[in-house]
Amino acid sequence: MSANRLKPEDIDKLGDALIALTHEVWVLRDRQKVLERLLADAGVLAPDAVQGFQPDDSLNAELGAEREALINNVLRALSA
Amino acid sequence: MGYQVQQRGRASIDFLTDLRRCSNRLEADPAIAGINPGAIFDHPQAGTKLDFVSMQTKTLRLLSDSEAFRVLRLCREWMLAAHGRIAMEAFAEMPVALSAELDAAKSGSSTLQYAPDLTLPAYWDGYEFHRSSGGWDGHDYMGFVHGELIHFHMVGRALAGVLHAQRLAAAEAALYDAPERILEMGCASGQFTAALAGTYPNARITALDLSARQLEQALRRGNEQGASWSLLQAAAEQTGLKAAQYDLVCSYAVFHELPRAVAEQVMVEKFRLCKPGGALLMADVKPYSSLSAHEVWNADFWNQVVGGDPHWREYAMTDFIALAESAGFVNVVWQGLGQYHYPYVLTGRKPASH
Repeated sequence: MSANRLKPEDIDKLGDALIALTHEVWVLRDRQKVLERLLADAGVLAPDAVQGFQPDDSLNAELGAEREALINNVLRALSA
Repeated sequence: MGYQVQQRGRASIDFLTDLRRCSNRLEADPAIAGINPGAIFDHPQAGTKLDFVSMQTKTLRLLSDSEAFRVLRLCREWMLAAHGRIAMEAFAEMPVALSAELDAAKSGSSTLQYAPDLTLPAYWDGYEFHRSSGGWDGHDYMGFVHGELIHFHMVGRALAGVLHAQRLAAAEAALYDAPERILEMGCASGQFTAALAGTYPNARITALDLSARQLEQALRRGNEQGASWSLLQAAAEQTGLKAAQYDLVCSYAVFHELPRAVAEQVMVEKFRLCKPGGALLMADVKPYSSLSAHEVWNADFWNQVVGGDPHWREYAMTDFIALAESAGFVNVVWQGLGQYHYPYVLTGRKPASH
């Protein structure tokens, strides 16, 4: 099996994908900060509530759909 | 009309703004800042022929060794490719009620006349200027997407209020103190129309564009301001309007989107529509004759070569004084405004005796 799954001509697309991924990471970090601030201000969040949380089936499905959209965004750059 | 960009759109625009700001710092790298495409590109004379393809090939070969340039190009091309999609995504996450509000905002004191049988010119139809996904018309609310989300939130924020000030300065540069009737060609979403209305509050304004979706945003803007703009879907080179009706015939950032042959036709049409004694005003980007060799390379590469502005070079190498004079205008002057000599404004008169 070749270790070079991407060819040299893919390098620009890899750069595009890296920036697309950075964009998505930022959008999420922004949202997380907003949520944590809102919840803390409302007295809803205990300090370790996020760290120890386990998602149920419903949240797992929601996370799955959002994860798929995130991956598709990166793949769009790789396959453009 | 009030609206709020939602979380993903807001964070995405923040990201674009900062990616642009941070990557712009790479321009100071000596390899980029010091690139010099040669003496013949220092203030090149309009109307002359220069081998731009060879110049770009040569400078690109030199710059290919620069890591700063490679990263700058990666970032800028990503932003060009992504900004339209990000704006459309930002619209899609906004409340459904916004669409109804946008539809309602089309009713008011301004009017829009569509031209459903208009044959869209080949240089315009289907082309995504500025590499903006969806072009001017590719979305039911593309006028809002461009005029607000792209122009105001993305571009406007990066330039911190400069855009409207530039339009006001251009509107004030017209050689006509109190025009009663103004025609604007290529009004898009009505940004310059608003500057004209602010500068000449008593004028009757007619504004035209090819894009129905952009005109709809101009209509909303006019209605919001309580203005009575007459908006028309028409090609500037063939408006179908009655001759000699307007005291001031103007455009903002339109000519650099036109092939040279069409620019000539538009200038002739401007002259035809101008009243005897009326004024010409064309505001646009800087011609290459006003730039240093390095600035010529910079403008040519980022706009013509990779920026989705296919007629930028033709515009920048055209002698617009000669072009306006050959259409019949007199007292023609072409100069940059303000501290940064931007925008470049062409003014002239139609002879009173014509």
